[in-house]
Formats: sequence, C-alpha cells, structure tokens
Amino acid sequence: MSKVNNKNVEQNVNDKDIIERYIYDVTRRVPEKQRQDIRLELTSLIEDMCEEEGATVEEVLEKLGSPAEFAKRYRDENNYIIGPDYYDNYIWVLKIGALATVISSIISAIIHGILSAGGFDDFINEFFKEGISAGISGLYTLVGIVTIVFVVLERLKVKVDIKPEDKWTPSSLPALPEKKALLSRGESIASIIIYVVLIGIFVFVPEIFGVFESTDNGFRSVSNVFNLENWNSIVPWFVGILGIAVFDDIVKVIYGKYCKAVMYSSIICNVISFGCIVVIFKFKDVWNPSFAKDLLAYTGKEAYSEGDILRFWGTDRISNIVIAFIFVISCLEIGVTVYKSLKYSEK
Amino acid sequence: MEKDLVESLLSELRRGTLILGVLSQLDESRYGYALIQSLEEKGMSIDANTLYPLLRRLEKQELLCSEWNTEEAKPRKYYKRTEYGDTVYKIMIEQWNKISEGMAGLIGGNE
Repeated sequence: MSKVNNKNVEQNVNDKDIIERYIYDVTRRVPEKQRQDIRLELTSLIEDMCEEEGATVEEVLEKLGSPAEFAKRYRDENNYIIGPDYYDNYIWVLKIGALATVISSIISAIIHGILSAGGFDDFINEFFKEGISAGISGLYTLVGIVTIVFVVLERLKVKVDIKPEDKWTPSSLPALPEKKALLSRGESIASIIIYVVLIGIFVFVPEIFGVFESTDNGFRSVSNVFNLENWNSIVPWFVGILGIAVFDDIVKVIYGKYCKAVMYSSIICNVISFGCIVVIFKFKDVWNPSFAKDLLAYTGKEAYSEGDILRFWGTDRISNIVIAFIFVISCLEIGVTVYKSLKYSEK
Repeated sequence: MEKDLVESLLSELRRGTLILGVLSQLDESRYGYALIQSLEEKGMSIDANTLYPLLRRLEKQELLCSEWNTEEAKPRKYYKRTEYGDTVYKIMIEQWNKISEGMAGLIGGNE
C-alpha cells in the first residue's frame, strides 16, 4: 500500500516538474511584464485540463503544443525591429555600406602599407594586417550604424502612422514628383562611399596627414598634423559624424525625392555633425602640438615668415578656420536642401 | 505542401469567426478554460494556445476587461465584454448576418 502511495507522490513531483518546465519555456519567450500573469494563467489551465479531461500531464502538454509556438502567439504581432516597409532598403543600404567599407579598408591598407617604411614584403605584410583589421571593425561599425538608423526610422514611422489620417480621396493623391525633385540613388551611393572612405582614413590611418621624407626604404614620417596620442578619444566623434551622414542618406533613399522629411533630416543632421566638428576641433586637442616645431627642426630654419600659416600653430586660429569652412559647407547644404524641398514638396 | 495551403486558408477563414465566437460568450465573465468548454459545447473548437493569446489581445484592444479571482483554490483570470466590446460585438453580428446571407446565395446557388 505504502509503495503505491510512494509511486503516486513520485508521479506528482514529476508532473509538477514537467509543468513548471513547460511554463518556464513559454514565459521566457514573452515580454517580462506579462510573465507573471501568463505563468498563473497557464498553471490553472493545465490543472483544469488534467482534471476535467482526465488526461495525463503529458497528454495535456502535447495538446497545448510547442512552447515556442505558444509564446509566439502571445507576443504582439509587430515584434520586429525593421519591418517589411523598410526591409528592402535596409538590405540595399547594408550592401552599399559593405562595399564602401571594403573600398575604405583597401585604401587604408594601401596607405598603411606605403607609409610603413620598408620593402615590398613589408608592404604586403602591413597591407593585409591593416586591411583585415580595418575591414572587420569597419563592417561591425557600419552594420551597427545602419541597423540603428533603420530601427530609429521604424519607430518614428510607427509613431507617425498612428496619427489619424484625414479622409482619403483621390484628389489627395500626391502629384507625380517632378524630375528635378527626385533624389538619385547613385548620389546616395556616392555619398555613403565617400563618407565611409574619408572617415575610414581619419579613423584607421590618421598618420597620412603629415609630412614625410622619401628615403631609400620608402617614406619616413617627419611629423604628424594630428595629435595621434589623443586619437582614441577623437575617433568616436568621427564615427558619430559617419552615423549622422549615413542617417541623412538613408532618409533620402527611403523618400526618394525632396520633401519635408528630407529637409528636416538635412537640417538636423548638418547641425549635429557641425556640433561634432566643433567638439573635435575646439575641445579635443586634435592638433599635434609639436608639428610646427618638428618642421622647423627638419628644415633647419629659425622661424616662419610672416603670413605663413604655421606661425599660428598652437593657437586657436587653425581650428577656427576649419570650423568656419565646415560651417559654410553645412549652411550651403542646408540652404540647397531647404530651397529644393520647399519648391518641390506638394502643397 | 498542398496540405499546408489548405490549412492556412482554413485558419484564415476561421480567424474572424473565432473573435466573434469568443465575444459572444463573454457577456458574463468567464475564465479561459471555461470559455473553451462552452465554445466546444456549442460546436466551436478552439485551441488553448489560440484562445489565451487572443483574450489578451482583445483586452489590449479594450473589447474585454479582466479580473483575477484569487479566492478559489486556483487563481483564475476572468474576462468580460466591456461596453465598447458590446458595441463592437453588435456591429460584428450585423455584418456577420449580411455575410452569411450573401454567402448562402453564392454557395447555395452553385448547387
């Protein structure tokens, strides 16, 4: 008699265990805040089914089906980070970005190879070392940037779409865009590639900005323009600028023509990346402080003549010139985009 | 392959009617398993892994409201139609009647 009881107890423990495992396997796949609720609800359900249908726990669980499937039905349907509307563009931009990264790493690798004073063997060696490391970290960065941008756009779109739309009539169809209003994909491709290559150079081979002397063994660096010791704290700002530029291009690809969205994106992106430039050149010790001194020592002169820009090395003036230059370019770009967007956007 | 197609067509056909069926039973509050039973009794079978998530969704859409009853041995979540749910339910019935009339004409006419 007691043996039978023991068996029952054992069976009960087993059942409890398997129910708990089932419920855990469902709830671990649903959003945190629903877990407790679903756990309680499923516990009662399974107990009810066992009692009312006289079925074993195994039979009941089999009827309920796979926990993964159950959990999938519990989750909200639009549980994706990039939806079908943007998917094609996402893949497209990723491909362009990958291409740009490959080009950028090859260019960085060539520069690196040339600057590594040494023979052909050294060149090949440095080329592959730099190329592979720049390629891998570049790809990670780019996939990250593009994905984040699309996720942000997806969330923004969801927000915009929730707003009630005015009643649609055929007359509310947008006019066919004028040819001049269209933004060409080729331009976006070019822009992404140029940005990736330029930023790639700043990130991976900033030593190219400098003065070199030609020796029998290739090139030898005399001095760097930039403060390479401090470079690690500057790189993130360049990556930020790249991210913002890619964002702007993605908006252009998605809308395909000058419109309000493209206009706002252009304004915001230009302002933010101008901000990054100001940070880099005003607050980051970007210049190599001994550049002018190194050059003087190399040329053997005592001092620079009047009007020579290097006279101002170590003062704010050079940073100010760069910032003013970028400021003018940003203003021009904003101006052109705003003008075209206002001109071509439907009334 | 073809079996999959038929199955997905059938489940699409059933989806809308399930919601109507579920709403019809929730003029008084019921918990999930009781609802499965009462639907089954009346000839509509629904799997628990369809019903439970559906109840949650209808609650999110404010057609249903729910309340936990923890006084009995097993804690149970009771669902009931809201006022808004009543309104929607009535509109759905009207539409259903129109559809079934129309379909009867279409399908019946072929025989």
